[in-house]
Amino acid sequence: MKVIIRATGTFRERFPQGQDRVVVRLERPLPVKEILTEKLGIGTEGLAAVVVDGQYKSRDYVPADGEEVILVSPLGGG
Amino acid sequence: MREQAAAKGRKILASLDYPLRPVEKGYANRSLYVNLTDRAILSKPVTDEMKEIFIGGRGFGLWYLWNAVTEKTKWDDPENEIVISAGPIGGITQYPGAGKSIVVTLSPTTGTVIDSNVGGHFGPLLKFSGWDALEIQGQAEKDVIIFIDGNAGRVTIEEAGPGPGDSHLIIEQLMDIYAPTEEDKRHVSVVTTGTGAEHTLIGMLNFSFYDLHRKIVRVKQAGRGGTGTVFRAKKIRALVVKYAGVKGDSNGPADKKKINAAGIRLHREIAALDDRQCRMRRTGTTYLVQIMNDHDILPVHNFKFGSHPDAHRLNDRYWRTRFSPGKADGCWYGCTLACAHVAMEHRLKTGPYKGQVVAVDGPEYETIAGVGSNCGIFDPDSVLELNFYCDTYGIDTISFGNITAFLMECFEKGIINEKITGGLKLTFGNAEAALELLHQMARGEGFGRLAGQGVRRLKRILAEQYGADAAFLQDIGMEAKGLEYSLYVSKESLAQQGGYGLTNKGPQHDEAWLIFMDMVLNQIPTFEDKAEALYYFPMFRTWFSLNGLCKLPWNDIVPADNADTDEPAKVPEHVENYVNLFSGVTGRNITKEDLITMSEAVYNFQRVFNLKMGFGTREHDAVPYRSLGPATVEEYESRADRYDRQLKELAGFDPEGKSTEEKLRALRKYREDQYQRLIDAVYARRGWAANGVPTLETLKRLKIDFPDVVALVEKHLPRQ
Repeated sequence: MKVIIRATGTFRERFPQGQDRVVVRLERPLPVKEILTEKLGIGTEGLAAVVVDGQYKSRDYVPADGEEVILVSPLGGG
Repeated sequence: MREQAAAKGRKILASLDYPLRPVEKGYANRSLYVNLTDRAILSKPVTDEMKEIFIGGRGFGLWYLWNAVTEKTKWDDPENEIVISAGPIGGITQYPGAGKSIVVTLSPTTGTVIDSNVGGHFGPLLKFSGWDALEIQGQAEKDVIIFIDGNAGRVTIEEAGPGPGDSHLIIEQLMDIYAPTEEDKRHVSVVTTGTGAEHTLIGMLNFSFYDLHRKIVRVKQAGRGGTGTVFRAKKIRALVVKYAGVKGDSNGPADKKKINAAGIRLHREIAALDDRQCRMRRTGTTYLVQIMNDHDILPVHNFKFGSHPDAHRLNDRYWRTRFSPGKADGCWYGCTLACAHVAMEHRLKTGPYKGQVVAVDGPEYETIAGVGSNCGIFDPDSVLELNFYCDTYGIDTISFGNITAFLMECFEKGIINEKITGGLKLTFGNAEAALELLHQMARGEGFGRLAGQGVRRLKRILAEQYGADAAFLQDIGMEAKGLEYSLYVSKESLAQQGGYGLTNKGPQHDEAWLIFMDMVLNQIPTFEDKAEALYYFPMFRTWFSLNGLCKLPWNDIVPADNADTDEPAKVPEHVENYVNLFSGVTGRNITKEDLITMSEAVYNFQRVFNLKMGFGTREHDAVPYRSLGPATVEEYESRADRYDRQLKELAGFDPEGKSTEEKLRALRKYREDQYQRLIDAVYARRGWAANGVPTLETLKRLKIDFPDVVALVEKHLPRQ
């Protein structure tokens, strides 16, 4: 299965230069936090939220095959 | 001091000597009243009732102003006041972001009460000098300076005499006079404005602080609603406060250990996490530019669009290279979040100071989005130049950005032309024209004089004098209640549409910023959810302005485990900090629920104040359509897939085979209906009647059922 991970804001800088989205191939379903730490080597500290299909999810969310996961960096906003 | 003023040829017009006494539990327990017409200077007691109900800061400002004006008072009448107050927590050095002043006055652009918060040292030094608030009424005959010597216990009104008209030069001159030695400079704060405030309605106030590391005077701005314009109408050149002796216990806290503990907890968080979160210490609020662009909510071309391919030129990666590094950039002592950055050595290319090399405070996100992307200007040097001149002229960058973008769109639509603008080619992206417009505003000349009236008046002027379509201008002119919008595209967030429209003072995000919760995270999907958010967050954020606190340390840094809490948007650990800070300073033990109720009283009082001034009812919560959805074919077609899908899935309208005009109308009908339903839900949650007036039950619950308040509200409540 494959999952698309997309970074926004300051999280982009943890991705390879110039990329804001990576495709991760998985042998079995994994929670988002494990995909980040174990498959991508990206720490989850500072990860404010995970959004899948426009819905807020926890870092323990297990994405389905083909889903896009958006990583939202901390944001106080206006 | 008399000798010092005399030595500079400055005549003292009136003075007051007052006894020095320490601040107790966050309060000096008196306010300083100055009347510039009859030159009266008085000490007024701060009562227990004021502290109980109005707390301080914005609350004190509203209370004094309420008692000073009638329903007929206009912004430039002598009875209008400028009130500046820091609030009880303001001035502590243990917790980040505790040096805010709040300015309250009747606004030239809205016609009703405005509050504007600002950093810098004035508010805390005013309190440590012995005054919880400074209340200025009347109008001087000639320019004056009000000087408060907090160590000598003396207040003077001084004739200003000849001098420069722009902020950076006024401050330089006054620092030479009132802080002649290097040691003195840190003890002095100046409030002033510039020539732009005199010739426009969008004047702001600069509050100074001395940057010990760079040895320069820096400024922060009370930007919104024309406070600087009122200041100049009163013929005030500057306010100066001098107080040497700020210490960790200057605020007289009831329980210093409690505030120390809260402070240490947050300082540790900032040290450990800021580099992985918002990087406020390095690039301040500029980090928002890229994120807003990523999510299509960065205003571009007068809010037509939410992103632009060149936005990266203005993002934090650039400002990281441009801001002066390696210094603690707090605008009050003890702020380790330190977001008040400065760009050194900008060589001015235009205007009266062309060729000079200056330091530019900021720019912050709102300025970058306002004078930058919203005007189609993506050249950072131009943004810096506009920022510098807005600051020194005393012009609000948010209003200026909106006005200029609005006029650019009018120019591109052919509503105005070069004949009308006096040769200015006001096309999107034309930084040279934007700068010339700004210089004209400051001089009060040419088309700039007209532009300086603000978007609301421009809509009327362009319709009346140049035959523009008034309805179209209403759709695209980004103001509500007469105040220009702060810089977030709210089209895709119904909650933020309410966050702007259902404000007391006009569309400024310091009441409610709900775009992310609503649009990105979809955490508040129902009307009830949105209404709850539009109850809680405006009340919560009002509390900062009662206490002299900055909003940024609340949620621009969050605990490592914040995302795992039940309500991450509220940042529960920091709410706990605020509860402890308040009780630690004042000795009043409160709960987190009390914090909301305290704000609610002041918030509702401000709503009633609007009523007093002829506003404050449902029709005044209307917003321009562009804040609700695409106002033009161009906007619709730029995001046609999104809007077509919404029509089909949400509005029950099949877009297949329909013209863009038909789809625009259908979407507009849907979205305007949604906004009205939101208003109903929010009014009910806030305890207001269907016409937007707080009910008598609400007034009683909040203990603001004063006889004159009740009499006023009764006149406006719908008949049963």
